Amino acid sequence: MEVVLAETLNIRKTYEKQNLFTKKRDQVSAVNGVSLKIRKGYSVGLIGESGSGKSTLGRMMVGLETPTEGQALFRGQSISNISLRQMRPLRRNIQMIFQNSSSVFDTSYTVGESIAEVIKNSEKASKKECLEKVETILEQVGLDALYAQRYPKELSGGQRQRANIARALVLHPEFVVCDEPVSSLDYSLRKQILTLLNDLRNKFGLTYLFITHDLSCVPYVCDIMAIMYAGKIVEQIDLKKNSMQNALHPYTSLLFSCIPAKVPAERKKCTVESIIDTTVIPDSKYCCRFFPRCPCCTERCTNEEPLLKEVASGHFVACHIV
Amino acid sequence: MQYKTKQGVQSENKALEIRSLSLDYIMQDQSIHAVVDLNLVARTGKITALVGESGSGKSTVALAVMGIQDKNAVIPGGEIYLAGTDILSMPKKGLRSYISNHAGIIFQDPIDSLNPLLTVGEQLVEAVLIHEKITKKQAFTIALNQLLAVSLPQPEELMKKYPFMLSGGMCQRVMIAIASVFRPALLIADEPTTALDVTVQAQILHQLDSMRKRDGTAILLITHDLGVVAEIADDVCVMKDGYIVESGTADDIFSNPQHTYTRQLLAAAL
Amino acid sequence: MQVKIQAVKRSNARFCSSHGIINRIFTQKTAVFGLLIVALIIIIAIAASVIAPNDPLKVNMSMRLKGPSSLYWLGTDNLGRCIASRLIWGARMSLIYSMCVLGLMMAIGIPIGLLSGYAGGRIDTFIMRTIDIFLSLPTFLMALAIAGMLEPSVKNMIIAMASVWWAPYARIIRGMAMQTKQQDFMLAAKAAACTHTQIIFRHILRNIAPPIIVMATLEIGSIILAIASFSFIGLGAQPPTPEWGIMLSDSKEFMQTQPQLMVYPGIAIIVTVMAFNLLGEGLKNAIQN
Repeated sequence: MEVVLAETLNIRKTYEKQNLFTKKRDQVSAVNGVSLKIRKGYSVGLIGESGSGKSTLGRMMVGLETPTEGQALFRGQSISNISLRQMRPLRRNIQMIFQNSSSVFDTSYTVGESIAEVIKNSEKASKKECLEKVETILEQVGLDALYAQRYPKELSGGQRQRANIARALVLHPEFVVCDEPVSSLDYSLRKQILTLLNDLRNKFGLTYLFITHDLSCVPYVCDIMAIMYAGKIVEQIDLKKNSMQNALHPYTSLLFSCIPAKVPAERKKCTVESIIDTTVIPDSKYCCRFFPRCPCCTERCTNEEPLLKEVASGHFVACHIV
Repeated sequence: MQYKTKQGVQSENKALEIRSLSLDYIMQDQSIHAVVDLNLVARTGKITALVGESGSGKSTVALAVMGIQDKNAVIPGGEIYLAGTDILSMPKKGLRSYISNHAGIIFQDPIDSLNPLLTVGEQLVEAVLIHEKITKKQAFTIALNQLLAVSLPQPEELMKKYPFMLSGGMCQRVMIAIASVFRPALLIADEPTTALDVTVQAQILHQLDSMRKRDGTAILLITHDLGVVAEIADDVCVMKDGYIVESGTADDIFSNPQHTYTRQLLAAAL
Repeated sequence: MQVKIQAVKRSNARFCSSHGIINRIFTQKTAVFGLLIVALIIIIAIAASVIAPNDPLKVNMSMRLKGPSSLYWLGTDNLGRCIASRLIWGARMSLIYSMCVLGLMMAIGIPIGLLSGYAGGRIDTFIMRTIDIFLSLPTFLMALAIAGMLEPSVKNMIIAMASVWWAPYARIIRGMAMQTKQQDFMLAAKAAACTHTQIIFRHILRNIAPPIIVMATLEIGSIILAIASFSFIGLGAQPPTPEWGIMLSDSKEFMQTQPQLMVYPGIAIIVTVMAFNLLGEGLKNAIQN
């Protein structure tokens, strides 16, 4: 029986502003009712563009943001509306690798001190034990133990990201949300970091929620792929049972078609002719959010919101056409 | 063969030619050789990609060509022929207007590159009026046409909007519109799609591609992403630590890389 | 070349630690000048009992209004007291009083500002409205009024000034706390299971400490001027305390005949205020770069 590690129950996040004079409410929904189950040992890749709500969802699942509706659970326990004090013991097992490595560290402390802070907050360890743990984790992420005395500004982008990973994994958490860990890195470093993440996953038995906008990262660390658009999951594929190429949702096909070629010979005559105003997303609950951009939308798509349905084993699509 | 165009004398096909360029950054106690003996050619109607990691000096080259390099930067030697004339030996007086008439540049973060306090229309009109002495109304029409040329929808509405109201992709198109308003011979794109999503990236690359086909603009595309290079570049120069280690056509570089560094870069592809 | 860039990065990082800031101060001539004068004033203040040639309080009516001599370096005032000694002891008084005012202001302003900026919501609104009330009152007149209502003394002057002047600092500190709260490392600190107290003291305060120090240094000048003004009108230090403001006040009657009695303390105030301002500007530039 597989353990459900992290789960969301119809979670929503909306940001609201009320104009005091006209009393008109300006609502921006970041996440619109997502129910995602992450089982232990099955890492999920969450793919979406900016504005799809994937980072917000990731933060809600780590307990760094409170949802407007619904809940996020960890091992069956709700982490959404609990106080900081109640959350603290859970932090051992839920961690996050942040996107922007340069701003994640407090620049007034060395790398070693920042990592030691994580250890000291969760367990009583002597100075020597702390130091040992810091050095061990730094070596496991591929940094020399000497880097513990360096300030974050003294490290290169790739080294800072490794230090970021070290900080998140030093307590061997069970569930780690990786928020675009390789997006801000140079092309040549991405493969190294992804390989590192995969090795650590196997070594420590971690489960990832890997958030990215780059489809090509997914096969390295993920077992399940989930595509997110406008705050909803539109497709979910279990990569062990199905291939990524069997994706059915029109948005997934669009994402695939926009991936740049690997060599000039594979260059596509670009098919993205029509210019779609990407800021226009229908706000209604009663239609498919992708219909303004969809090449094959029908009238049903404008009236009825499609729900995730299973089209093959481990393959779910939210679309009326398939 | 030299021939005159309405933009001045141009050497055959070479919108930009850099010969033996060196650039040093003078810091407090040392000087850093950011660019060393660089040779590069960007031909009219072709997309030349300058590839390298962070710190290789590729952005420095772009800034030097546009004449907007850091105060600490010193150019000990080399020549930069922009549309036939060496801008490093030009007198300071006419330099600014010469460069802005023959080259445009777009940067990585489109929202930060635009002035947040002015509307899109105001910024475009300002760019037009710098180049030509015409009335505001005429400038406005040119600006509208430019927005249509970069395939932005509903240009009249767009002119009234502020940069923060637009998405990253739309801002980048506005930047392209501003940089190419008078069809410069060279357009430098410094990591134009790094901060953008993959669908928007495809649109912007398509936009750059159609610009060079329609107007014959030479595009110097600076990037660290080999996927982008494979997608649209014609010629490629690989840069490492201030040196060009290898250059050639895109087909050659991808199918038959000679230098170890180029091979490493290709092997690092996902 | 990669190694070179790393080396430069490392030295830049050192720049940003406290040793680096001190180094950067030394590169600015005006800041060094200010630092030297401040250091000189502090030394004079500490060693006042050793340096001063005479007892600043000793009245000697036979020696009144004499010119400079080997015994009385700057001459004597209207009561025969040594001007030089009074100036030297005045330095000590000015520094002590201004440090007290500054200390109190920060002791009230920093916690309130931090709490307001970090907590947000209703607590923030309540504190901000309180600060707004304090800010809407003319601060100098308020301080005067308080000092006037209580019995005139140094202690009451310090309390009066600090009780009104903490407000602008609390507001600035609140702004800085709010800005720091937005940064990414705050999320990381929460993910690292830090408590609220740990976040405020270990992260926010440590990051806003440099600008607070700059503000404090720049403010000392204004405080010294204010103390002198209070003493001038009799609401601060009381005679016969050797304080520069009192010296100015005493010499009012002799402005026409013995202008030097006013000039000496005046110059002392100007030089001290200017020195602290130059030092503060230097610190600000060193931290910003």
